[in-house]
Amino acid sequence: MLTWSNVPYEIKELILQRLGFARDILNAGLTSKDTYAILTDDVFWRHTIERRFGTNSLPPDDTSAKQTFSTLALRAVQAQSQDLTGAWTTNIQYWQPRSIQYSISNQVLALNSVWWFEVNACFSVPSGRYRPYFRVAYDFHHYTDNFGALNLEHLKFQVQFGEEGSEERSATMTQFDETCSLPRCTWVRLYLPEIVVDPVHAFEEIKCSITDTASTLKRQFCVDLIGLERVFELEVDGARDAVLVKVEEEFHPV
Amino acid sequence: MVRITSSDSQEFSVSQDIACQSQLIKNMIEDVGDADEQPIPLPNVAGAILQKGGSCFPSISNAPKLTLFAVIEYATMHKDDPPSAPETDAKPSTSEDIEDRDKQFLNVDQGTLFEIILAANYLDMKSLLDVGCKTVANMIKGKTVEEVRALFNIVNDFTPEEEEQIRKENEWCEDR
Repeated sequence: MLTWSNVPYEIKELILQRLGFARDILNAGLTSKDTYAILTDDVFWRHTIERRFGTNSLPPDDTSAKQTFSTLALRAVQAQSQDLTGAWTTNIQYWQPRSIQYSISNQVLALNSVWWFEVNACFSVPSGRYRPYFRVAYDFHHYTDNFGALNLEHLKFQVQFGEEGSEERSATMTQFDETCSLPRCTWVRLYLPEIVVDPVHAFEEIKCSITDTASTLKRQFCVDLIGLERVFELEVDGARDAVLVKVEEEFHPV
Repeated sequence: MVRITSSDSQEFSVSQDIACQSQLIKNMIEDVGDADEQPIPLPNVAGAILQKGGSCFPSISNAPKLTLFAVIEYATMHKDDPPSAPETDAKPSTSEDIEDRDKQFLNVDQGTLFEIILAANYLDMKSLLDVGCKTVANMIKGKTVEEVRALFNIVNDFTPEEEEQIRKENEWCEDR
């Protein structure tokens, strides 16, 4: 009688491709050495990507398909404080890596006193739909204009993608929170409208940034994460084109 | 009609549109010409023990050597299906999208299921191969390594250290 052990390699490969989820693939692979051999074959991962995410998500030939699958299977790609770039982000005079309650990255970038700033995160991702997001916290009492009034008008969240960054989505803080009623010292996750990365521009740089170039003194602004959350085709989300804000945990200011 | 012969020398007569769901047979007919002339040998596919027209699948587990019969039944069941999209145009699919009639058709013992999958692969019947592999994939889904080993009687040939090492290398799989 035919059993799993004497089913040919190519058939086992076809079966594992149809598992789709990485955990199931690994559990099947760990059953024996000959099954695990399938997981070490890049061709297997290419076929699995094709099956689960479509041909358009295949990486270039010189890119590891297993690595790409692990990115594709992620709900989100995200950058933490140490991955962020921009103006003086490594200069502790302006930006301090700090540990703040309820941060996800454990070490956030916290703004000292500056007149303007720019923080960027760059990603290369397979084709698909993504929602750019920013997990930030700020203290309204310190994010003020020269007269001590709250001024969020120029705090801008932006994503650039497509050919040489030709496409853009952006929102200012006031669009996220028209009433500026967000509670003080609370982690919030801000979502820009969905972006669609087409196959031609897949794996090219997608730049997410937070800027405020208005000449007002700014302090106590914290960046925890910047990322792209994958939107799977089958999911229905009526608010794909809207800017969104999710209020997360409150913390005690230090 | 097309005559096909199984590995155990049983001969079947099936209509050309049913037989041609197998790309292998279709190519053979195109190469050979007149399909009525001589039977097409399929040396890699066993024939049927059950009488044609009998109640087939509930009793399949008692009759492991009926692969060709089962394959013909499947082809008959799907003879009016629209042609499937070329693979390059195919949309991403999941193993959940199996028609109820196919689920029922493949509700057989493991040995028979693997025989059918192998026959579909040899005969180049993409839809049967796909649905067969999805059925096995569904049996694996959500199970632990030990449960999958028990399901298929797989002997673990990893040392605990090797298994641990692989888990570590593939940690990213755990939450995806």
